Amino acid sequence: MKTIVLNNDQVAKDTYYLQLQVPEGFKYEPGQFLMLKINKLNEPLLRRPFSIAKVDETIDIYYKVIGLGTNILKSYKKGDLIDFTGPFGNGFDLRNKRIVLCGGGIGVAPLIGLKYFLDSKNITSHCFFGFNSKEDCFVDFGEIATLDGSLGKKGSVVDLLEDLDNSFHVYACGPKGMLKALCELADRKGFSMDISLESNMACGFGVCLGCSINTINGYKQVCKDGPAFNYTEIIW
Amino acid sequence: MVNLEVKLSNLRFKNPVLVASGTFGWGIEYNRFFDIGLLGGVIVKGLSLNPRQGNPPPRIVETPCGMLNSIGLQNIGLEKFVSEVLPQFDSIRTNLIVNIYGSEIGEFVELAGRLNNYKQIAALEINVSCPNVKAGGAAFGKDPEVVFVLISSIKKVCDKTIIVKLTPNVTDIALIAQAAQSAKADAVSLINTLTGMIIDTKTKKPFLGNKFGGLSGPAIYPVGLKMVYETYEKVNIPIIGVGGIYNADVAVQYILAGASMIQIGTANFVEPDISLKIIEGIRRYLEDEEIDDVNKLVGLAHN
Repeated sequence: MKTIVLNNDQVAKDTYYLQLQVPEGFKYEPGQFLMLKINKLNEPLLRRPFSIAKVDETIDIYYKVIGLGTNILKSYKKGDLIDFTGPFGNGFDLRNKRIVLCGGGIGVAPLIGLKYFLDSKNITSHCFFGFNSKEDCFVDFGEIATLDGSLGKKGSVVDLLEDLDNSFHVYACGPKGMLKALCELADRKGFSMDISLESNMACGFGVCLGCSINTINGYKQVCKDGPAFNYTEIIW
Repeated sequence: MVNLEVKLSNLRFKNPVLVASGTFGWGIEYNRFFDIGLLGGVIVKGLSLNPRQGNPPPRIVETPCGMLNSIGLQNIGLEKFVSEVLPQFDSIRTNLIVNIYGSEIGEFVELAGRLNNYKQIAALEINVSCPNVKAGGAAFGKDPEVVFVLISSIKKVCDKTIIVKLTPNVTDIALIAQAAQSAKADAVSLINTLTGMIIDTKTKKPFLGNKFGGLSGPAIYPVGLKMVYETYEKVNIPIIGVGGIYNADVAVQYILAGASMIQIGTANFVEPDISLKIIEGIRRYLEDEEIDDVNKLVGLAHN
């Protein structure tokens, strides 16, 4: 399916904010993702998964320019058509506890939609976001930590969660190292947590079986069984 | 109107376009995108007697104009397939072809024998070509004697149409196709993936969890095409062309090389309804060329 690019602007270092027109009948739950076809030619061949940050009047996506695909994506202009499939994956499983959102780098993106959704239901949530540096930050809310100390508290966003106890439920997304550290913290502090994972995937809807991760219940597909998983399931 | 109908043994296909095993799930997943009953046939993912967990991640990585996978034939096994997947094909009006895999000949034969009981299944595709499993798979498909014994044994217990899927990772693929023909296979499909690898320069280690994978996608189509062309000159049974087909032009090239039917593989991941576009593209090609029957196109590239 094709939709129109409404905005595609740089908002932080190597980070872009893509807004797409909402196609008729498009339904979304916070935590889901789209597969974007970035090139009409055969390279890059596969679609790329992007978490949906938010959907209201537009579909909002934040992405970091890393490789060939995202380098092409940043060249899309307002009015261009872009081909997508989705939304795919499951939404976040909402828990009746004190809610904390914890994101690292571009992993903050899917949590923006969750925050927006929780606010719309008058559910209080506390947000903690971590970046390498001030110039990487693309959110204007929540408590911020930066590794170089240029914005918010110096250090890892994981350090900001030291005070949590088992009355909290954390929704987290970010780089693998951050998520592993969060899992260790959750074990120590007793809070529950769902983590949204990323993986290479070819299809996005459960047929290629390429995005498997190792869990205590065997291999699971990030696209179909996730992308959010209870942290206790994951075998790192 | 041009004729797109193709016959293979005693089966009729409404068009020559099939979707390749491993790229189309259990078929039904694609119904969210289009009516899969419009396809010539659906080849479901490799099925084994018992469920298989598959290979460790990471399992896929993109390559120039292609992808490498090391899925390792993850599947739900015969019992669950029969109880959960098969009934859904009662209402789907296309040919269901089940790709089967065994780690030893006896396992293949038992599986073929048991699947023979189900009327929803039109044909079996015998997978002697998977590069991502330790036992069976491509190891079987590289030895013409093993292929002969395996297919002969399957033919004794199964009267459904038997297609043998061949690996390109051999010196002479036509030799293996001849062995399949001698064993009374009804057709051969070629090619499965080419083995390859990617090394992660950051970790300095192989990228895939299984180190090696199968290369598919547009990058491999000239290889598949050449192998279909060669095999067409050596066997009399129908050839099903597969390997990197991503548009109607490439599909037509396979038919001109000698394929009676074609399979769409990796392109299904990128454009879930690509097979429908390819059916229409073949139809338009025939109309433009004023050829009234797709069967007249088969092998025209040969002198």
